[in-house]
Amino acid sequence: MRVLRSVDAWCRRGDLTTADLAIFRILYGIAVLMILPSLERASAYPTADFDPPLGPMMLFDAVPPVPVLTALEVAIALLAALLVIGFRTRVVSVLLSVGLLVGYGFLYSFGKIDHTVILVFLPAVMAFTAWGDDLSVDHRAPSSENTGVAQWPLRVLALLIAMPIAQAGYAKASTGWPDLTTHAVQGHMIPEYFKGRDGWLAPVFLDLRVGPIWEALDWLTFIVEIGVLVAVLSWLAFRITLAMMTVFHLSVLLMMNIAFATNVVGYAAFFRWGRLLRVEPGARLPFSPPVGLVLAVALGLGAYGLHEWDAGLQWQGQSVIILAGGVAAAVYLMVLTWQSVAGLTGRSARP
Amino acid sequence: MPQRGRVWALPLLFVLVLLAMPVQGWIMERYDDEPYPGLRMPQFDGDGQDDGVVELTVISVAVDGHRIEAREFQDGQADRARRFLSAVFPRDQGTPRLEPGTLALLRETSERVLGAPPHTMAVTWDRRWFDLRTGEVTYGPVLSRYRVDIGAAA
Repeated sequence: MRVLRSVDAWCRRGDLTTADLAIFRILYGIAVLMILPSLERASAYPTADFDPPLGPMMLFDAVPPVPVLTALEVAIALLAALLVIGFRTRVVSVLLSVGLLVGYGFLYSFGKIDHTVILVFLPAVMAFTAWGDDLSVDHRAPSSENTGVAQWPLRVLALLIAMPIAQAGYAKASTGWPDLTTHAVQGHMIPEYFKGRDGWLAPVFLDLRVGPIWEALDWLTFIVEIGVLVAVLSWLAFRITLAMMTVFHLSVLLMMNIAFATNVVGYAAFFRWGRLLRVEPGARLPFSPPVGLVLAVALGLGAYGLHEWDAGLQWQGQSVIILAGGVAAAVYLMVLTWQSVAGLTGRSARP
Repeated sequence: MPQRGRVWALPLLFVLVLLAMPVQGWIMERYDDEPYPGLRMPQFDGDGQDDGVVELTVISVAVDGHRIEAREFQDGQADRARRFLSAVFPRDQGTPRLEPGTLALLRETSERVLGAPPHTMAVTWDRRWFDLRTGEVTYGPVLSRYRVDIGAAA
């Protein structure tokens, strides 16, 4: 019984406020709008190649007609925009998860699954938190009934994010990455370059032949990936590891031009945005609900229109998210380091 | 939502979440397929090389004599573009699979990139080897070569 109580207490422990979660909700909604998937691309594949992966997409015999894909894409955009303003947040969160699941599912029914799953299941998990209470049409004033913020869904989310990352780290560690005579990052970077991922710093790394640097990257990669799962035990350790992972995603973008933005969006769920932006719990939207709804429809349709106008915006959106996340994470790590050093030397802990 | 008082509820939930990975591993083993949705990240397992040499399969696309990056055909997503183009133009010889939706995408993308209506698209898959120690690229055989008309819509 004591063990159960300890685990129960650990699940409930956390310092995120309704303001932190509300700001993250807005960031998440905007991120989805920035990287809106172009579902119509699924209709360009040869029809005979439709081969849905194991799971609910097997209910479909073929990709639906283009108007249906367009309607689904518009629906995803509108749901993301409604999430931004916090309208019927719980229902919208679940519907957005379902929409993204099906939408990405069509794109992944031709032999390749991109691993965007964090973006898909995140709103459904966050629906169990109070992320719709502040800065929302659904605004709930703090009262004696809703003073505590449920932290356990964030523990669940942390596990859902950490487990597959650690599994990928283990897969690396058990298939040659620790071997000092071969450099796995280099071995994987070269094919990416010749796939056309030749921008940013890729040409520099193409010509880099310093073994110790490549080997250090090998070890750093699988150690941090496996470490994410261990770090779930402590919020501070988890945040530090996620910040390191975000810098890692930035380096992957610069080196291999792979923009794995969906993970970076998920990591943002665990940071204290309210403290950073000085937003207190109980904060309201600066406009009335009807105005918010009009703005949400305009935001959703506008984002869809922009992606229709230039489908390349999806890639640019992913890059912007990783660049911004990487810079924020680097600053976070530097501030923590400064605070630790200042603490050790007895100076003020606030930079 | 688990309430205070039910001490077993959250630990049970966490055990179930933790079991998701081994269950998924069993499913992948049993059906030799990756489930969707699933808890999975890009693996990049293995060291990607054989005795310091990386084998490459490279696609080159040209429209009316102008080179176009393959990634352009899937909104800048390089992997998805390769998958799409290998479905339309098989790597190891074959017949191009040009359905109306496919042709429309090839035509629209080419026109957007080139700024003029396209006519002829040439696609080549070839094999190369990259020596990680020297940076030298050795060119191998052309695996397949296609030349198709993607001109005016019917």
